[in-house]
Amino acid sequence: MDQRELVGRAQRGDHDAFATLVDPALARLDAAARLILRDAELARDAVQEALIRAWRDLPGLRDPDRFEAWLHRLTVNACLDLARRRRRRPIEVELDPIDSPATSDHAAALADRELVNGALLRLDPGHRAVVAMHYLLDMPLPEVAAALRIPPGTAKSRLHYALAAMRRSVTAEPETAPTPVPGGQVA
Amino acid sequence: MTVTNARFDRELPALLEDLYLGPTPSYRDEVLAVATHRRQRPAWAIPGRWLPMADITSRTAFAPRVPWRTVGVALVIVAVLIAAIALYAGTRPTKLPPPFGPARNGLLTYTAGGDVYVEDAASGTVTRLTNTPHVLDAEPVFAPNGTRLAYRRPVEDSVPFAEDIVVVKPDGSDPVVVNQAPIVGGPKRLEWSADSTSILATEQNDAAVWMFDASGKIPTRTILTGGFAYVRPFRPPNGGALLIGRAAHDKHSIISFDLATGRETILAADLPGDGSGAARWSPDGSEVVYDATPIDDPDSLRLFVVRSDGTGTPRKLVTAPGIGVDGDPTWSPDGSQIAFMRYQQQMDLSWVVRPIGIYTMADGTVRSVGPLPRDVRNRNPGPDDKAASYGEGFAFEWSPDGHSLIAYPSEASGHAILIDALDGTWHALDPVMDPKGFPYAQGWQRLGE
Repeated sequence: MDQRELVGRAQRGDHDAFATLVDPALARLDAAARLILRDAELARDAVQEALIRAWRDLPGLRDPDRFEAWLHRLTVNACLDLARRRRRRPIEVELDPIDSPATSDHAAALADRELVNGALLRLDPGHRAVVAMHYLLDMPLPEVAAALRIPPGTAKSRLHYALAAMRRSVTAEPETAPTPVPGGQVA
Repeated sequence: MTVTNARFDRELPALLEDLYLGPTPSYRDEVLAVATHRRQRPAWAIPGRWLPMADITSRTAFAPRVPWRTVGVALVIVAVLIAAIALYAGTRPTKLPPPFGPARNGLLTYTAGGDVYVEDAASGTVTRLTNTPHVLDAEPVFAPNGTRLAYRRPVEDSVPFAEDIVVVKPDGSDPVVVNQAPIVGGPKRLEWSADSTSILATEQNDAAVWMFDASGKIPTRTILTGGFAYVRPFRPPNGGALLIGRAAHDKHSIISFDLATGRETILAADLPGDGSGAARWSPDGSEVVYDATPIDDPDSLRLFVVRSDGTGTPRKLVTAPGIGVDGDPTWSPDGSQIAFMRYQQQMDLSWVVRPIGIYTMADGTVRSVGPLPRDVRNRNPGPDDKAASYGEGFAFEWSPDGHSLIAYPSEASGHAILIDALDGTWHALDPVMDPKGFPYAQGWQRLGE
């Protein structure tokens, strides 16, 4: 059964069709949400909120081929909404290593991951959203811009800023891995 | 250090996947059950996605008989009144009190390599104000009276990342940190108050807007929560209101916030998106220009002007054929023109950048001025040019005298240019400066009239 047919069935209220549609995307949605929100529980909330909205509004989706992009957009917007709501309580969680590569420079790879993780911590959710959409959800920048309702130039600028800030953090980081900071405080 | 810049760029996607991508989350069944337990909206209940406008507008409307004669007479009277008011307004002097309206051009300020500089645009004389090898100073902005400038300075080795706001004189002397405690995440966008005594900043997640005393002696105040301030938010002619935005559920509103009473006047409501776009007061404070996605053209971004007293409906300024983006509108100091950035979507769905456009308020004409950023990079190479995309746009602002625009690189370090707003001629400034990712506040010193 192709995606158009699945979307059609889900639009008519078929739960199984909706589950089949969502399944392949769920891991990436969760990954993007965790990258943006830096909190596994909040990420779950955001994904759930996005799925609720997707199910609720699916009958209005005009182009079935855009289902995945639409779902990405709902998820990122749910993340940004949550990020705004929690505002003054940035919570940092330690992420468990997943599928660690079995290579000879295993330690260096782990250090790289820590550095990137630490660098992401220093970005605000809006910039992390651009990174997540572009690199984890494979969305082209114009699509990122459209999803966030910002000009393409602004999306490019945000990505550039994010990468530049991450590069700076990564290359300036000392050898020791950063210590996770529980419960930051906005001045 | 285990990651070099080149390796970082190459390996980032894989590192991100390695860090974040896992198997299907264990909550899969639960969230799907929660989601599908909800009732679906019928398709007809989702306007904008489903109902074709043509069907709506062609549907027969049942209405009482219209008294056309009375309406006609009323319209004639209104037209005569409007003409009289326009004639009266046209003959009145439009001189604005400082710090609004045109002024003489002073120094330019920018950062290069993370240090703050000022430059005399006429002579090309450059003065370095800060020298901080371990932190990247950012976003220098001049006070409206030109006597001081403020910038952001990261707190060295801060975890989580935090910044201070530093105020100095234009020669770099008398530095003062105006915040009482480091600002976690750093402030977003610095804006001086109209009387040059305070600095306004928005929290990074738009949770709050703070007012810092520029001398650092008075404790920081939270002006509002759950919103953000737009660029140059103080309403002319007295700075008594702020232009703010509030966002929720993928929509945002543009609001006039009275600083004395806290009263909010909604100028534009339910605009799509999180409010990352631009909105600015006209120099006399009577109108606001903003960019937004029209309901009938959801793939584009257009300019709108609305009255700042909250009355009337927004009017769309520029409509170019095809899917386009008209964004980052900026009034000229005398209010007669609006400069804006443009992108256009091509048949192959790629986006291309256009030269800066200038809209003339009097006749509604639009002209292009200056080059494209990539043309500037081709003619004035810099070390970071390859980091900028082919479709890079400018961050720009008007000179205080309104005769020219300064356009900054927005994606990578490069040369800024000065564009003659009248004939579109331009020349590059010598310094290679840091990119300005967003349209900027007061980067050009005002020197009075």
